[in-house]
Amino acid sequence: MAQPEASQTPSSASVPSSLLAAAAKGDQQAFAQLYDATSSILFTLALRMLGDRDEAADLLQDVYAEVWRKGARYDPARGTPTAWLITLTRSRGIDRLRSRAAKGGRASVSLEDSPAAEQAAGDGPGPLDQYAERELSTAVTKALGELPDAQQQALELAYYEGLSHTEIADRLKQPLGTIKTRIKLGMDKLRTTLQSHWEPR
Amino acid sequence: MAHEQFEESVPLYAVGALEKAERQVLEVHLLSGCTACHAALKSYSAVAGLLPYGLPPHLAPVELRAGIMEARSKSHARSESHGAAVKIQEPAGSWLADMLSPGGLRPSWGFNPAVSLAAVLIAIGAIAYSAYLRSQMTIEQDQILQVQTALQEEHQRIAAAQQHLTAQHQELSALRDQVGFQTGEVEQLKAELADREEQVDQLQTHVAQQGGGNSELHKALAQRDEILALLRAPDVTVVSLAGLLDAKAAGGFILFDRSTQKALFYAFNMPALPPDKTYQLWAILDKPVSAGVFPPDHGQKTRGMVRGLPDPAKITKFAVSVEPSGGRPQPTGAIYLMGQL
Ligand SMILES: [Zn+2]
Repeated sequence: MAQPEASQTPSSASVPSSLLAAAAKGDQQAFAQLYDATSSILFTLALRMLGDRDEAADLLQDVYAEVWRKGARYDPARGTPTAWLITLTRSRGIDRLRSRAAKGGRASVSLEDSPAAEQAAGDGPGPLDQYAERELSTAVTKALGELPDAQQQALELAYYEGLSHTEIADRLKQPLGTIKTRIKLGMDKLRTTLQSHWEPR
Repeated sequence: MAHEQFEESVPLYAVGALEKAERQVLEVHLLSGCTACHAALKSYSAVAGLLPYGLPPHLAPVELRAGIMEARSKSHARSESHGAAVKIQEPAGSWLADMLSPGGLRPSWGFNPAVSLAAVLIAIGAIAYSAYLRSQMTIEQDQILQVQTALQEEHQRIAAAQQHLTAQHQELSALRDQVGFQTGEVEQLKAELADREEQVDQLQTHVAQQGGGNSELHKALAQRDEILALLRAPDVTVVSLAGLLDAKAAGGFILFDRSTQKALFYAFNMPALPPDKTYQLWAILDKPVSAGVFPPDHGQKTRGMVRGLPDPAKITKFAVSVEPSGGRPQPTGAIYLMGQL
């Protein structure tokens, strides 16, 4: 059976809903394309959250298994397939951080103190080179760079480490209201700066 | 609380920075149909989903691709070779899957009106439980879609958070917890519904092809149709059940359709019982009437379909007590769950 978009692997910035639907229905080729388009951004996210390549790879196993089990539940009205996969990865990643914390392990890891950063740098160019994705990457990096460091830090602690505003306030020894304001201002600014990238077309 | 206060918390929600109680309160507000907050959530969530693009990119290990593709084709081959019936049994990680799994349903009991009210009233009176929330919701489908992802996450977090529940703030958060739990469960339920319906269709086709020779399948299908019909009923009443006494960690709910006098009962984290004991569900009108016995499974869950509830307008509470196997005409044991309409 012929599939649309079967000829060329899209980048994560432009995964069509039909590809996810086909992959979830058991189309092997569609699944491979979906993996090729999205594995890099999902691995990047998983590695940032978990700080360990093996564990990040393990997390991706779980996420893609969920795609073929539950991909039919994806609804285009809620966002792009990539956004759905990113949400799924983050959510499973936070589950892992929590169970790690519950076992008394390190509650969070940042890439700065992880050997994974150097190791992965040698992986060479890949799908991230594709134009749309590179453009998006540039835009987000720039938008984040324009935020005050304190706002960026608060956003990262919440998003990548799964900390609540109360936990962030504790960690940074700042008043609760300050942290809430930082997150809100940061998100407001990003929403404006990145509007052309998140707005449905 | 005013809409403005909710609006403030939407960006925090989108990056996962809210406290549990705040999340749940916001989710209830979202479910109430506030279009401004829905629109804000959609945009902030989309922005949050872009954050990983700001990280220095890393490629997934090469061997991971092969591993995932192999696992995928194995799983696919397995489900193909066993046909549609296997799909129904796949663990979906939710209570609905339990409910729909073969053998998941217990036969319901008839109602026995010859039961004394006094015993239960004394038991209830003795228990200092706080206010329970009644909520009757008709949820718009499009609202569901927008918050569904967030709520699915929430469902898992609630399960994890339950274990870490401390005494502080318990009084205050009890009410919110119930609201959040309840809406979360209903959302999850609706989300799974579509999947399950598809599977039922497949099963039905399968049965038709086999000439309808399998009576077990027919029975299973009839049960599922009944559950799905209840889930689809336009104004199902949701009754939260809160754990009491020895079952503080337990919880549950009843989805109750007044028009057909049927209800779905589901409870989790129920303490394990010795073999000669069972759980019994009671509908409390002017007196308690049995709504059936529900032995817990090995996962300390108990569930079932209740048919022929007595005059639904007169039911004020539901309760679950521990009784000797087979149940009793009136409650005799400790009450573990209680919920008020
Ligand atoms: Zn609102």
